Amino acid sequence: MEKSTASKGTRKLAAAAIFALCLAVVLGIAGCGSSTSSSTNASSASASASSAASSSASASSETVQFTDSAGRTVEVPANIERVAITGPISQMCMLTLAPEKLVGLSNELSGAEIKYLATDVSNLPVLGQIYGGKGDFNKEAVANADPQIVIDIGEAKKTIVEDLDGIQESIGIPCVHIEATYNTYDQAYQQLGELLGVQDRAKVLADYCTSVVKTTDEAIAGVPDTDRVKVAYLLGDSGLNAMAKGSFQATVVDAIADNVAVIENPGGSGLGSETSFEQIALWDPRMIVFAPGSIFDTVGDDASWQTLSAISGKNYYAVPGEPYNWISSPPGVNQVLGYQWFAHLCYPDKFKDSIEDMAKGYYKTFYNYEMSDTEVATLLENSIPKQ
Amino acid sequence: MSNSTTDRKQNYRDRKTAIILIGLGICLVILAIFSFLVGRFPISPDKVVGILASGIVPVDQFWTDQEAIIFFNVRLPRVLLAMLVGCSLSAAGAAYQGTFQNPLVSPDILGASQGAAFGAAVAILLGFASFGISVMAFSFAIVTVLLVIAVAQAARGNQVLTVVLAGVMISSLFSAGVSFTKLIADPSDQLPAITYWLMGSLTGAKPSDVTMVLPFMVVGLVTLFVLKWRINILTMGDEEAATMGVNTKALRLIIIIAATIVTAASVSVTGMIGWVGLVIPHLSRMLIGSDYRKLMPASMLMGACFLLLVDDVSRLATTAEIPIGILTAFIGAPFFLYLITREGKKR
Repeated sequence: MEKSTASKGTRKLAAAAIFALCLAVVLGIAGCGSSTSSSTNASSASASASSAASSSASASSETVQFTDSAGRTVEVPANIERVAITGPISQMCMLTLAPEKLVGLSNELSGAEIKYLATDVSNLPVLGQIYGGKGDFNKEAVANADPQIVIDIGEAKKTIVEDLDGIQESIGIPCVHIEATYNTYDQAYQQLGELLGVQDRAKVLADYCTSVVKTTDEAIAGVPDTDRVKVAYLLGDSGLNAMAKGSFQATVVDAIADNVAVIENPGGSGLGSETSFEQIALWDPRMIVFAPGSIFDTVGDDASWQTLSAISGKNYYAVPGEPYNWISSPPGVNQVLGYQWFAHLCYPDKFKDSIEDMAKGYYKTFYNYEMSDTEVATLLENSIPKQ
Repeated sequence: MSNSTTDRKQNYRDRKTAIILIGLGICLVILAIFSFLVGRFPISPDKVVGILASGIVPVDQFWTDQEAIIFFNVRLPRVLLAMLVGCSLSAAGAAYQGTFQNPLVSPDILGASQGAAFGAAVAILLGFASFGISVMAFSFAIVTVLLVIAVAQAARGNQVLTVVLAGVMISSLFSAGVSFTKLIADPSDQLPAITYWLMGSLTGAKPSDVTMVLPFMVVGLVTLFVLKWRINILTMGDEEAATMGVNTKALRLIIIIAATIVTAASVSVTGMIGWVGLVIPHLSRMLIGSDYRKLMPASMLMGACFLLLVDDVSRLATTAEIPIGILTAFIGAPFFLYLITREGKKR
């Protein structure tokens, strides 16, 4: 009897010990996480401490009034060296303009991004994003990374003013919104160039955007609405998700072609809306583009898909996916490239330059990356008509 | 005299059972025919009959090749899969409810669904195609339940209680795992893919999906069907069953494994479809009583009818699909609430 109570007692002790151990492990993991991030912060902080010290007089005292695209007037430092961003679209844009000013990323860089981007920023801490399904923007980590400004680039959400005011209030760092859609990136770059004092680089990018959007606009303006190609943009592991006409992810497709996917109340999901094969057959698109990672590779051998004229007529393509999907998911400055590609694909006789040269030009201008002929050929293998 | 009245009563009850089961069978056949005839892609009824008949007897083709291919490769597998999955989830739900002597149990009680969800989410993160996602979902569902059984075997005390507790705990562990995969997923394509998977859908049903899950479902469903009267013994409680010379531990294990296999097979091709396994056995119980010899076949038939009907709504209502998991929950949750309030009034 006594023995059994004693063993019960030890068992209880053991249970308590195991529980404590679990707790310790979890806390340990959390502690490790924060200690590594604080150490990277410390190193980046110390690296920038000297620059901050040298420019501290001007950086801390001089401020200017800046009116952002949401109509908010914000007092911002005149000399901005340290920038935080709010999401993948902002990240995409800042990486092309001034990656050296970033104090953190909104999401981890993919292998392809690291390959193409001239500057290595992959060791920066990941601070999360305010939109896009996760809402994991870590305000304390952002404050700890010590940016002088937080920038949100892209299409304005309905709640943009209160969202940015809220962040600005809680961390005491000015937040601005810069409106940008695929055909207004020239203005966005100009605004950003002035804000961040990188006018020269901004001008190069803005000029490129102005010129290619103008050329492409003019080319497709010559195509009457009745001659627009009937296109479906399909996504997902079964290819049964369609990017619906009018959804903000479908802007490029809608601007160039006749998007057959007319869906009531399309959402803003990066994967489009789920539909069915019967519905796609009913739409009967003349051309299909598949998102990266969808079923482009297998669709040619599938009896059901073979019944569609676009598939049997070999008029289907894969959207290039490096370093980002070219036309959506997320819809950022990648669309400036995707807009040209998709227009070339739909109306090849309206353009003089080749898709290959166009792609090379974009990668050179935006990523400062010289693409070899083989690289371009691999990238575009399934994305241009076969000769 | 009294003997013949009980005989007559018994006779009457048997006839009633037979009528209900035959009625459900007829319902299912009518619904299946209806489902063959309708879809977003218009194929006229005479053509559907012709296409179906051409599989058996030579018929002069008066339909297009496209119509035949869409019928055989898209609509037929989807209808079959809806029936199979509905049947499986309901049978598994009924079996679990009997085994655990608890009417509020559903097929995901032992973590099969959460395990499958975790497997699928990891497969999506790794960029697998739909086949790989199904395989991962199936394997994780099975592994999760085996884990639960192993933990329960190691634990002391009431076997039913430890199995359910272990199930709830491990289920919540995998649920946290799913949340974690969502956190690290690429927000533009992987995250919505996981979300869609969790909502459940039959839109991707292919002939190969049916052939892939059919063997598992047949094995599991036949086992549950054959053991249906033994579940009656389990519902009486372990002591009672033991006095009747039944090895409750072994029996319970076999039923759990059979129910898990059919659940895992269902979830692996459709994603999460909730409530069917909880609600249908209850509806069947209202209709036919709680004798598992009748309840099991009734649940199977009714489950097939229910999911077929809901899937018809899902694919016909709008241009975009309404994920079937949402529809079943919309119908299932209010019913569940009604059920527990009714139980409350009885007391």
